[in-house]
Amino acid sequence: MDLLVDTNTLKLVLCGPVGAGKTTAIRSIADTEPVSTEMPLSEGATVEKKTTTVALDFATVALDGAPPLLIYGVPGQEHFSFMRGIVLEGAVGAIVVLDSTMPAVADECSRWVRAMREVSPDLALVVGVTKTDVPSNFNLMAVRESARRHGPPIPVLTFDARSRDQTAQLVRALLLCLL
Amino acid sequence: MIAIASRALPESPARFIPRGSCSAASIAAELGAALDGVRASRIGEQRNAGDAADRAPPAATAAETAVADIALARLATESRIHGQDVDARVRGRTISLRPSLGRVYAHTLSDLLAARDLLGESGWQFVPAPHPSEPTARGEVSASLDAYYVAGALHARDNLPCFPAGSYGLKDWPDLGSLPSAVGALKVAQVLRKASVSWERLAQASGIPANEVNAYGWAFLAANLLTRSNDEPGTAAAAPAKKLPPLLSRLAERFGLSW
Repeated sequence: MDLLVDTNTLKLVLCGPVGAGKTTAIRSIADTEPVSTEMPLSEGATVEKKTTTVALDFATVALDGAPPLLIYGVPGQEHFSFMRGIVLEGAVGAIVVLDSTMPAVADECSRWVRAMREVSPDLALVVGVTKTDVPSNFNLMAVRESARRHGPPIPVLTFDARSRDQTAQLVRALLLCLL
Repeated sequence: MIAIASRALPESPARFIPRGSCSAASIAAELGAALDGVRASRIGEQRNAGDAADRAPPAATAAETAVADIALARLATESRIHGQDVDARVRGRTISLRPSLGRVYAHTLSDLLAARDLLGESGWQFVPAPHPSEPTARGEVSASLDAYYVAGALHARDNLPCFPAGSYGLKDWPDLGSLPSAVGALKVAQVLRKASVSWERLAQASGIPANEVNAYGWAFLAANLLTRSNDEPGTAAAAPAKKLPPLLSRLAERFGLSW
């Protein structure tokens, strides 16, 4: 069975730039410890961020009477961009995870939403923005505006990737976009 | 008007909103004018009452005035502050409301939370921000403004006036990631995103208690998220709910979305 395109299972994809919190978000909602391909960062390592995903994160969420939800995290580095189309195949939707403390978070949002739309124009999308508890000049309206450049408004939600409940709220928003 | 256990505005809400205006700002202006009228008439009544010093204003008058002065209703309807960056003060607490950034700031978490729980009360002072887009009360706590208004509105749901009748849509999804308990607000947002809906039918369409839907209306209007359609109030119906396929329904149930 090809897990990436199996139509009898549900697949959710998390994507976004390096260090935004994708692996943390997956860990917070998954029932299983994510299988990660984390490697030490070759450059730009910080106290908080010493490793990065180089291939995939993978975890599952059990569903009553149904195959589990498969959650994939795709690496943020541009040289892994070829993987996005492969992983997004058959996904119910994708969550773009962004770090609010990035200097150009609105531009990053635009870049990632455009990239997702290029791969799958009708894919349900939600943008999740992390680290908004850190004092910064984060501007939600600018992120919303940049997301809107690539189609109808999509949910842009600030959240704590460590919180199961808050990460679940992004999945809810994604599901409501499908209705 | 939604039949709920909230205090009603003293006039038919349908009279508050003439047809033909669509923007959140115009909704706010029209509602604001109506609420200003309420305040003015109350002041007039109180002056007349002053002529007969032994006659106190009727209890309902004070209640109506209080309804018109509720912070959330003012933020939703007063053109001077609706959608504007303002500093707000209540009972010694100061917060900075920054719709231009979608954020609220305070010096301390206790200021932020205490003020939030007073959004359904009167007695607030609002001052235009001296430097818009810069939080005066920057210290060091900030939160999503949409989530702040929704949480405050839910806290005050029994104090809020009935949300004015009319057909509404949503400009943008509210930022409710940090408020996972407000699943209902996301459901209401989803219905409003699909099509303009008469507010009276929203509770039915979203399967949410009417006083909760009423609270979301005030919160969304204060957050500048609502648009109004030109349909006659009461004629726009909610689009029929689309059913999720069985597998997606299981996923929805797993994440607390059941209908």
